[in-house]
Amino acid sequence: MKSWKKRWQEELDAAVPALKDEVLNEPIPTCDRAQTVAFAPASEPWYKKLFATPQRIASFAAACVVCVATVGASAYLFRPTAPLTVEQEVISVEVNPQAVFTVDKEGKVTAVAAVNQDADVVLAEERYLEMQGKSVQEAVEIFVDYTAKLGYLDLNTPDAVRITSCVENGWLDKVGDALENYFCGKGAYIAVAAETVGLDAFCQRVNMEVCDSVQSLKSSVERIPALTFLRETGEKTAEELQQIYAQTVPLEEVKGIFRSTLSAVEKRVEDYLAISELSDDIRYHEDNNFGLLGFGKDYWSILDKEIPDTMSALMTEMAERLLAYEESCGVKIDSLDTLAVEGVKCSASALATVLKSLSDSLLSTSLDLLSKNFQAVSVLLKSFDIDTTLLEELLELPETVEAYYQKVNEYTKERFALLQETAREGYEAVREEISASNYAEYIAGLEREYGSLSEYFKNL
Amino acid sequence: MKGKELDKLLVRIAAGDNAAFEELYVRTKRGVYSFLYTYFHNAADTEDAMQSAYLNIKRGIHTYRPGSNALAWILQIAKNLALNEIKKKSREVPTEEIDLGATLNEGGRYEITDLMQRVLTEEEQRIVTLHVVWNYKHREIAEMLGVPTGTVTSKYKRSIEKLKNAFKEEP
Repeated sequence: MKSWKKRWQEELDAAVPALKDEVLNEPIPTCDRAQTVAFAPASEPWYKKLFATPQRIASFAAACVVCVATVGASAYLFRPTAPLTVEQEVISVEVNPQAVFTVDKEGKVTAVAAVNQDADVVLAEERYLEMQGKSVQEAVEIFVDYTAKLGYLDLNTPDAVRITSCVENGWLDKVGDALENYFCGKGAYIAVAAETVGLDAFCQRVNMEVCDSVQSLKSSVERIPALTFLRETGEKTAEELQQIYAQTVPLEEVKGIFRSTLSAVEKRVEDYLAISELSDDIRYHEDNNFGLLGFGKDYWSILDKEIPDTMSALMTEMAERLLAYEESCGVKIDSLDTLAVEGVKCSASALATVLKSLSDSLLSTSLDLLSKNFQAVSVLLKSFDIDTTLLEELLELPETVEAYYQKVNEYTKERFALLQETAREGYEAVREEISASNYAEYIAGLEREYGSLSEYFKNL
Repeated sequence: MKGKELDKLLVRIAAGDNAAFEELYVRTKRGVYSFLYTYFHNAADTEDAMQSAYLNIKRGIHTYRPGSNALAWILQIAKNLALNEIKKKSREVPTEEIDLGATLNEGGRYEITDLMQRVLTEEEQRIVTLHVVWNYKHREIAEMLGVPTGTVTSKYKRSIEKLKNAFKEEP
């Protein structure tokens, strides 16, 4: 009998319909045509749809009321500018993570690409897809919001972001307004330095090869992978890939994780030895006569006894140390037997010494050597029930491009989660919204002090 | 199908190669169909969604970034489409009842797709589909669904147990 998996696959083959001719014959759009298709109006005239039913007429009336109110409220934020006629634009946003956004004539983002590794963390896990197709104001706001969530941008401290365009009279002012509005809403004193520069200077700013036109720059950005680590890994040997990997995943960071893992082991051994010693002090104390023929009993056996004053300090210290041990290591020592079991794990005062000397030598070496020797250390760490999965994954050097992508992807994912957790409190801190006039006053002060917001950005 | 091969196909499509598009369909149709089925639970809507999903893939090909996760990109398009369609349908007044019950094939056995729908939750169906049809690893599925790997592993095991038991109960 066939396996159910095989049967399922066959069943799916039979169930899946053939593609209709209209799908097969639909022309494949080029970049420009694709935008036309994506944002083209519906085939039926809009007014027919709008007034098709009484509900739609009512909705339309309600929408009109909302529009009138919104237009009034937006009048300040979206101050009138010259009509936008640019066919395409490329905008760079620098928070420290730096990303570049390509924009079509409708003001929609057609592509987002990271300029540096910090931006990889922001845009990884397909987050760049969230920004594509949105208005450039919305897309940039989403990007900046992520940088704040990850702590790259501290909303509680005065700071600045820089936005740069390579075309005059494009969408830059609107992006600037949207960001200012975002920062006011978040109660963050963060300035937005907006600059329009020439194409050559722009290309340099976003680490792209100099292009001869905005169109070709836009096409280049649209063609490259969104994340920096996905670029330039074409035909590479395993050794070359590993070198790139070591640069992408900072060695110091891996060592940092390694160090903190090892110091957790060292502390555990140290704490265990103190408890063990204290246990002996109690058991063999001259006033411990609770056992047969006046011999001493262990700490746990005399907990319900009347303890002589001479032993009470030792008993209190033992109780505190056991509690602290349970909290830090998750191991409850509640009898002489469990102390002995823990002792087998930690019989490793010698082991700890070996570990330390081993780690000292490993930490002074390259990621490659650290990786090759990690298996031995991993066995020791696992004997302490320490989860070494992350370290193992980071230290296993990739042999193929796919493995490289997967590992760096894992790394950026871990980093995203770690940064988000670390920055959560700061991001969620309650801040009072800043009024438009107060914000404008604050910005004017910066401009007086530094000459311009660009200068302020450079001085940070 | 390996991600790299899929990536190459998408790059060819972006360059205007319609034959690559047809090949993409042949090589991914089972996975996309079974993935969409977990949203619609019936063949008619899934079949319509299949056409729209591949149309969206073609129209949106310029948004694919060469070298990125091609499978995830395709599934993202399928998922967005499914959610939009479901949202649209929830606003519409139903004109006819859709039969969501399991169907019997010629041999009198429940078809596996419907059997899965009957005994597994939506999330379990998605996990089994991604693992069995798309050959995704549990860790990758966990990333996609935003749940811990352990959850995917345990749900997958539980799903397989449920399916095995259901097979035993078949007439």
